[in-house]
Amino acid sequence: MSKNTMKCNRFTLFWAIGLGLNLTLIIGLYFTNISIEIEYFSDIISLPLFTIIPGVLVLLGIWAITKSENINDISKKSLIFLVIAFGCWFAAEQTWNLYEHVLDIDPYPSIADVFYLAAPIFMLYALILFLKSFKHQISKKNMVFASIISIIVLIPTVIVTYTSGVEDEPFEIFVALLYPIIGAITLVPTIIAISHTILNKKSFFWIGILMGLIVLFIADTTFLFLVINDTYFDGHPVDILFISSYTIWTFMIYYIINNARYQKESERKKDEKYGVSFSEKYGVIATIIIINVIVGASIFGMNYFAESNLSDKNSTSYFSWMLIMIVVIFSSIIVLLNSKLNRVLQKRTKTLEKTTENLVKAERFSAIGTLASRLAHDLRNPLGIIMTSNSIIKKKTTDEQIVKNTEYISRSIDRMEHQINNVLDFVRVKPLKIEKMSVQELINDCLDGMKIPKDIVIKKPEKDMKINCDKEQFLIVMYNVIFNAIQKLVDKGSITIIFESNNHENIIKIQDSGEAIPKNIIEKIFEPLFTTKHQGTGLGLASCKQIIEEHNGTIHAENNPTSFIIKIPKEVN
Amino acid sequence: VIVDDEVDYTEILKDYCELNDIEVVGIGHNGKDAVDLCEVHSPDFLLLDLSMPEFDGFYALENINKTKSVNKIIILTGLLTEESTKNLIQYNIFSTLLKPVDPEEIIKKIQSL
Repeated sequence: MSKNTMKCNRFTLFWAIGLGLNLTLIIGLYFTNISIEIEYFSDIISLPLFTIIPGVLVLLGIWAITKSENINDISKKSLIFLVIAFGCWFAAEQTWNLYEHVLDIDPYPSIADVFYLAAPIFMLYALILFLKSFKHQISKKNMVFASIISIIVLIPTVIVTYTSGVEDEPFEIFVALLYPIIGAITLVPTIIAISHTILNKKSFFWIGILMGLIVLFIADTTFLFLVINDTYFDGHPVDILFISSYTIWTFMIYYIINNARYQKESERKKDEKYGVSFSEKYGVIATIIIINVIVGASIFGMNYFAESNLSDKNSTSYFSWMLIMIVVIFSSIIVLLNSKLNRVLQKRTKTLEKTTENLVKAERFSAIGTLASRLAHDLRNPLGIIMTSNSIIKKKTTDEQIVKNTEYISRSIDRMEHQINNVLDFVRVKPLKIEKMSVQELINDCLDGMKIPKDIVIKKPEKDMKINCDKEQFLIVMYNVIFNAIQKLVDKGSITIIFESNNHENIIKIQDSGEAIPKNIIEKIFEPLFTTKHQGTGLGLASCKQIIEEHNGTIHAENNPTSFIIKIPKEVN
Repeated sequence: VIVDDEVDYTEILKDYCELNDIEVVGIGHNGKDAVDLCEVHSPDFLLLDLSMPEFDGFYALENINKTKSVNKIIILTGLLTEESTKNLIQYNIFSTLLKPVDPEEIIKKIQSL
């Protein structure tokens, strides 16, 4: 497992470095071109980039489909539509290049637009398939939020598109308007999916795909705008956005292919680890930073260009500010969600660990409990025989030595009986029979069945108190706490019982004049099997706690004076 | 009459009872024994265990209840579950004692009549 995890982590590191380098290289190339015009830029850089990257993306996509049975991040059907969408973008880029560079025709509007428009529709379907898997988790609020964001983006885009394209042919305007509309429709599930994936740390893969999609939306809108104004040229910084989203997708697809390979090797062993891997921890932040840098850089590049070209300066800067706003809003939402998520995850992990621990403990106790109760129960018959025989011997003999010995046997039997009852009380789970009881009566009943040494004084309160409890179970508690105190006092001392109550609780305090409970064990005394007495089972106080908690109450120990405090709510359900 | 599947226990209880001038007219080890012995002797007291092989204490209680061949019944049992307590209510039980029980207590119960 560790070897595989290491391999996986190393891959993630190289993968992240690769992605970063790729993006930096692309941005670098484009900006170099802008500042010092590279000769034949479109032939040697732009054209190959727009062929190679989407091409690799489609090829990797197809490869991923063949491995889809080992991919958990995305269903096969959804993946197929995703790859079809990638194929459309690939086709669109190629036809665009064909028109522009080979045929030398203005590629807008052309068949390339059909592909450009078809791609987000397939993407939309892939997204819907993805969203279907957690349909019930999507709240109405979530949907409304996504719709509002997409409308906010849609309205200004449509207005700008329409007003700046007024002089163009109606068909051109129609096509131009289709872009933001389809984009806005796809944006709705995108936002829902983003919030869900990030909130639930659903899948790093989907976060990447969705981020790429957002970048592409921004690129598309910008591009459309530039085309309408005829300010677009090959090598324009907006191309960085297109290339970036294709690059992010390519790396994402490669990421799941690689994961599928490890998945097969390490089966589900990774699930055993609660820790968060590097990519899960920093992936979101890294992606956001990358996107921000790209968008920011390209927008400033664009502004710079618009200024130097002095063509439609105002609308370009207006548009770029809008983009910056969107990016900032999205980024901050994501960062916020991410940090909140980290906390939630940590909390959940802790709860999970605790639950598992408790479960293991509970299972162990239930096994021990079954055995112990059987044992305890089976001991009763022979103990009865010993007890009766002992009584007969005691009656028949006049020998002092034998009488003394029968006394010892009697005491041992009493002790054994007490321990057996302890075990059975702890193991026995009975539904509570709540009734109103007088605590005085309960304590009297309890003291009746006890052998109290002569020099131990028990002080009871004069005033009675009524509590809601299960009589039988509560007797066990009183018996154990008082028995405990008597044992601690050895032969001499006093036990004081105090009744108190507040608005919602009845409180019973049992104080003894014995030694204080050592600080280091005061927390542990209620744990099952914890005992300091060599003859204790460690179950007496544990069953007290169990019973009191069943009553929705609490029991704890205090020093100065040494006391056990039982709190029982006035209303026990 | 004393009925318990633990043979040693019945013997020793018999000894103890006789030591206290209580005559034991019969000893049985299952529910059927209990019914038969009560039929024959019509005793004042029946000390009855509940969990016994083949015919348990409830079998005995059911049949004795019909014939009313015994005056008082004392149940001696190692395990009293919620269910068995509920079932016991419908029979006319004089007393129920949980094992291990101090024999002196049994004698006290019998003499209390």
